[in-house]
Amino acid sequence: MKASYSSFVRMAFGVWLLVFFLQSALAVKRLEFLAEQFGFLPPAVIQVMTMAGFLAALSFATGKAVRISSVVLLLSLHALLFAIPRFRTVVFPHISIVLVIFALYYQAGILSERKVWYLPLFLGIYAGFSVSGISKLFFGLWNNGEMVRGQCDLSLAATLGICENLPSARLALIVAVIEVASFPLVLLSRTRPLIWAVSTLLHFLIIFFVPQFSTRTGFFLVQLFLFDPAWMSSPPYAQRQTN
Amino acid sequence: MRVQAGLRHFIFYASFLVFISHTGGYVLELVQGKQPAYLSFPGAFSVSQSFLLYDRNEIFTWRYKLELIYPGEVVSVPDSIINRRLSSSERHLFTLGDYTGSLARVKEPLVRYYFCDLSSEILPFKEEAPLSVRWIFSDRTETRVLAEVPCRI
Repeated sequence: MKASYSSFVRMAFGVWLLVFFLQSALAVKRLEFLAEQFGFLPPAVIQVMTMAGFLAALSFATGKAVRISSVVLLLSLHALLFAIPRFRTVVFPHISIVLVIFALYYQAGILSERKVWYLPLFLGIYAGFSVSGISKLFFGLWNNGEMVRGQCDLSLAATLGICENLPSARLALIVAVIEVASFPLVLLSRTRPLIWAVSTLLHFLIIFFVPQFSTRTGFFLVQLFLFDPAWMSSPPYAQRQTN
Repeated sequence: MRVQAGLRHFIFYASFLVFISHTGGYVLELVQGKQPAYLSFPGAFSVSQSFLLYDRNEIFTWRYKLELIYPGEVVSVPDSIINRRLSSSERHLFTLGDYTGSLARVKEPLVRYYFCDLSSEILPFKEEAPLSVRWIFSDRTETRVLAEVPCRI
């Protein structure tokens, strides 16, 4: 991964984590209450981990001590999620594996040894999308668009009045088909950039049509992480022609 | 250097397996039609545990309502007040379920914390807290009380 793109992705994740820990730090009294109720970790530990996470996110975003910051971020993030289970959303395993990669492979501004981690990660994430898509296809209430409409009513799009005339059943089907196609298409190097582009666009739009803003922006960042700058310099189609 | 690189790869693949297990867990729950990981969560409402065993086909349209129970009177909590009191993620948690099973984690003190003092917003003339908050689940086919959390202990 080229230095400039790696830095861009690192900064984007850093800002996302910074906002997460800033929100946590601002809501520390509430967190204490929740931690007391759930009783996993003492409130003092929550405070310390929140502050540590905030400082590590700052360091990560600015590119200082990135590997150590990644480890601190992993520890503080999981301490918070452990203490307050309701914070756990499906995006955190994705964020965590990205941080693990930064902790292990970030050197001199680039993510090294791409051959080791890139394809397994891509396949793993897109396998998850396909499983999600298959499950959607079997739910009648997804297929008739009620779920899409229900989510839209709570989203940013609802404030613009877009949800009223949304062809929700058709959109639900399109989303499910894209998700189901994700894994098979990512297996082939020729179709990988195409499904990445479609999936990234989908995740970008989902930010506006589904509530839980931070979760959805997190998924969008994971998509950006999967972008391969080599696609721009030597597209798979061009490679095929020259070969 | 080789040992160091080997160790790095080992840590990555171990972490990757943990990551993949989340997808595997999802497949498992699809196959079994339930969410096993959350059912054993200690202290969760027993009613919501049975709720999680609910047919997954209906899961996308569940809906929650809250009622405040006063002596001889039941008052529905308007959505506008729920929306004002809760953040979007909390609203999602309480009023429109998702398929993560996170509702199993909602505990009585949390409901009490958020909703028992709502009388001042809904019924300004009520000086006392309600007897309890009733948490109601409804979908196309049925409406049932998931939990009734006492406000006055």
